[in-house]
Amino acid sequence: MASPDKAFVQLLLQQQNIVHKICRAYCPLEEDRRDLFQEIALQLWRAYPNFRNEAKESTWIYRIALNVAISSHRKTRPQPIGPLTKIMHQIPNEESDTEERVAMLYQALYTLSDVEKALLLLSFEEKTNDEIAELTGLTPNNIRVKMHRIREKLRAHFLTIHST
Amino acid sequence: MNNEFDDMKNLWQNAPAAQIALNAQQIEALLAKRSKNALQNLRTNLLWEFALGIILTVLLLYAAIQAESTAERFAILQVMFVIGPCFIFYFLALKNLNKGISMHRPLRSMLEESIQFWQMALRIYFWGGVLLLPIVFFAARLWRQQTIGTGSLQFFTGSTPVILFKAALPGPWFQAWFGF
Repeated sequence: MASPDKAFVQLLLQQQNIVHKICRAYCPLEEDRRDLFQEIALQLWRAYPNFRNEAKESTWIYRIALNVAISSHRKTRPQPIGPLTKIMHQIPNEESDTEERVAMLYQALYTLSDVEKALLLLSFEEKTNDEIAELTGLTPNNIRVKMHRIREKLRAHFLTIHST
Repeated sequence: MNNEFDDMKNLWQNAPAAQIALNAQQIEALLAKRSKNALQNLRTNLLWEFALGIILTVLLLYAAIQAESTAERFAILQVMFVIGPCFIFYFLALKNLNKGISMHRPLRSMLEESIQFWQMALRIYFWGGVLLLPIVFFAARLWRQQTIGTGSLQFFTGSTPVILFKAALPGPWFQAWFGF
């Protein structure tokens, strides 16, 4: 493959936080995250010649990064919330409050399926149901139903956390 | 729940995910590395097998040219013409695999394409194994009968199931080597 052009490297530099966040959402383990980041970067680079600025850069990155994250084989699967994780939530640690809340956010994400996670992350990015439909190929009605189920799942997750 | 949902959304939008952001050199280094995905592994394996087939065919051709008797030359050529065309299969498989899966499509159609693609890849390996192994063995037996005659090369003697069992013995090693 030819060496990447400066424009692409700059784009990835500016938008790398999106890719890092998606990697963390799909890979609980650091080792898997590094591999996924590389795979997403390579796929973005491969698709870059066809990027015509018709979509926002972040939307284009979300589309490819989520597709790669969902279709990639990962060695490890997200761990369900186990007793140790519950204990961890009861013990104050040295992390800042934000870091702790971010860790809890990712724990909540790990309870969702890969596709559910994609829908939730797109809604976090303020995408409308029509935009999510275009990105995922699902119908807006299907997305509404799925989003309702995701909220129910998250509600159950937070109830479990708060009850311990 | 709405509060928690909004809280999650704010966290997602504002929290940095990576403790250390990559710089331009690190990104360039990352892009210079080869992909470790399953498709790339499959492509590399097929490429090795295809190269091995080409080398084998060339060696057989050389052996046929160097053969001392016409009978031996004819036997080697027969083997070559049985094995050689099988590697066209590898060439076509590689050609199909090189198309890859387009990641810029909507998620649903990308997944549909992925399923079709991997089903095709599985078929390639299935038929590759099912067809090539007996072809190679019958070609070897043909060669043995026409050049050496019966009684020598003990490894190739015995019934076909026994031969296939012997051939399968290095299988786990190959599987580990290919990363399956």
